[in-house]
Amino acid sequence: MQFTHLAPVDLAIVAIYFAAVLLVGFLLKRETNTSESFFLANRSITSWVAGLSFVAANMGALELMGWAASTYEYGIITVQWYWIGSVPAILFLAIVMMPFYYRSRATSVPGYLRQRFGEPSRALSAGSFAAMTLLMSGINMFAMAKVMQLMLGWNLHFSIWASALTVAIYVVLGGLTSAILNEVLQFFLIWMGALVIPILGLIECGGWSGLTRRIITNLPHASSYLHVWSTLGSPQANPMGVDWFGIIFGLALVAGFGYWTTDFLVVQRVMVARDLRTAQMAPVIGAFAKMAIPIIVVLPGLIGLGIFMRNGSPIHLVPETAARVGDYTYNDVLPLLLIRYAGPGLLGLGVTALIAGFMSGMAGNVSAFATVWTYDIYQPLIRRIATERHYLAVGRWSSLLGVLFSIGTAYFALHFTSIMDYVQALFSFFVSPLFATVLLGMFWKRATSAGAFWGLLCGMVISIFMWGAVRTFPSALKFVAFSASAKPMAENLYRMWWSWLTCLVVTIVVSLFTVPKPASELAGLVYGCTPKAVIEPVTWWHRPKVWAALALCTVLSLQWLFW
Amino acid sequence: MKMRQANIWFLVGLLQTIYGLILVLAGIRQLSHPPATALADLHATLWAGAAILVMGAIFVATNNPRRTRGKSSR
Repeated sequence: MQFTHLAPVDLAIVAIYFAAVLLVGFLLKRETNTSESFFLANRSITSWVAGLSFVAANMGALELMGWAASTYEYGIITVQWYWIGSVPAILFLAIVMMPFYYRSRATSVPGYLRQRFGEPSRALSAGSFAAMTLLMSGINMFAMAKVMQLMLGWNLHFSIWASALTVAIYVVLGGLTSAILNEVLQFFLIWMGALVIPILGLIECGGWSGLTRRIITNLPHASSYLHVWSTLGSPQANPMGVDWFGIIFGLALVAGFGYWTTDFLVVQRVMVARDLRTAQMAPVIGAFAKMAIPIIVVLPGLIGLGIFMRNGSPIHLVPETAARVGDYTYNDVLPLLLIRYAGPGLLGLGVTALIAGFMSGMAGNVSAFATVWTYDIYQPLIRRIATERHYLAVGRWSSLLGVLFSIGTAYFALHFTSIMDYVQALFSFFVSPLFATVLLGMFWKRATSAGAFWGLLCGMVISIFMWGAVRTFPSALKFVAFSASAKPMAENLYRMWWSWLTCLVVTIVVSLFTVPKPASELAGLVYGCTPKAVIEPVTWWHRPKVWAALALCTVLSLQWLFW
Repeated sequence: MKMRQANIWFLVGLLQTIYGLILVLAGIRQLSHPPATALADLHATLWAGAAILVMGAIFVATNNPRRTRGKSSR
């Protein structure tokens, strides 16, 4: 079964897209001749390019489809993953943390940890990051190929190899610059292709007021689908089963801050900006872009609620777990809307948007992996002294091998479908303890190398342990998440919270019993040991803080507007 | 052609122009052969094509690599 097929004009649009991203790679090939240009884009990226690629690299394969499906299931609350779960963290990165990352001249987040805490912490964070990045991109690739098979009848192997090899070619040729510039291109394509759904959807439903009226008629408990805060008093009052504590502490503080401030995949894009002001301005631009994405993700989910939930709708969606062969599931809400509104031409553009969203995330993974592998694993642990050319070659080879390894993971997922849930859970294990380590390293000069290493290790071990315990003895759930009936999402948020706390406590305790580095070695790395940055005087509209304040005000007004 | 960072905006514009033209042509064809989509009478393909074409033209005009060469890119 497949939903639709592409007309020749659609195929032409998809083919032109592939040609364009490859073209960028080939044009960059000649100037990508030093390791500085391959891994660090010559540290010359401008603010708009860095800001847009920052957001595009963050997109997963199923960003558009997955979040539209979650909105269909849980209502408008999913918008918080874009607003309160992202924007404050991005602004914190820009204004508070970026000066330390940037002025340390580190090449990566593990590289910063080496300067602050030494080799063991770096090796631990680099190793876990490299492994997880490749596993994630393989899982994403499999998920994407699956969608293309379902929607367009494309061969699974063809989708996997065509998309992965395209990414491999343009990253191997042009390195980080190529990945970043293509992410800008992909950012525009995602918007062009996806915007047709909210526009025509709102026209069909009679505008925003018409849409909310429809949802209220279609659903028994509609108010919880249309408000972001007012139904968060208790987990029973909203379809997602979370409360305000989970959203504020789990999502906004640990998950959001952990991801946006320490995940090298996104931080890499702004670390290579051409100067500190640009490096601060880029995430602020990214914050505005991130805030706007719900228009093409959350709004289609709501439009789905307005259209497919109606009595007499010929299409009926069921949850994934209850689906029989031939049923449409929640995950199909975005493809179904695309087919509903997009005729030949626009359909091709929409499919291009889905592919572009996948590729931008994949290229982000590959380029971040190549940098971490070469600078933080290969150089310190395998071959300390080698020529510039040698490391450049290692970078190109590791990009290619990284892609091949991801393809291997994708085929592994083909046979063991449940691996997808495992890897997604695993990924969250490593992000939240790392956030505690970086936070203490940056703001507490007493934190020691031993403290950081043991804290990080304990944080990772404890989250793996909790995950394993719940899988082996389901009754352990009530100790991890305080409730025997916690949903997987709530369990995840609590597990991240505990591993973050473990890392924090262990780091502090061990640090108090070990000898800290002298303050003179911490200049530029730690708050309080660093002379204040001399800011070149610029007019007010060039100041990152002004725009960060505006972004914060915008996101707070949105909270009030959709209360 | 040497790829510089500023040229990515030109390339975005170029791609938009090509896509805009394709969509306008497809949209004109759909005036007489309406596709089997909801709201086909609004001619979304034609309107989207025109909008993308205009955007592409603006990007190409303001980021022409011949004209902006030597000027520091923003």
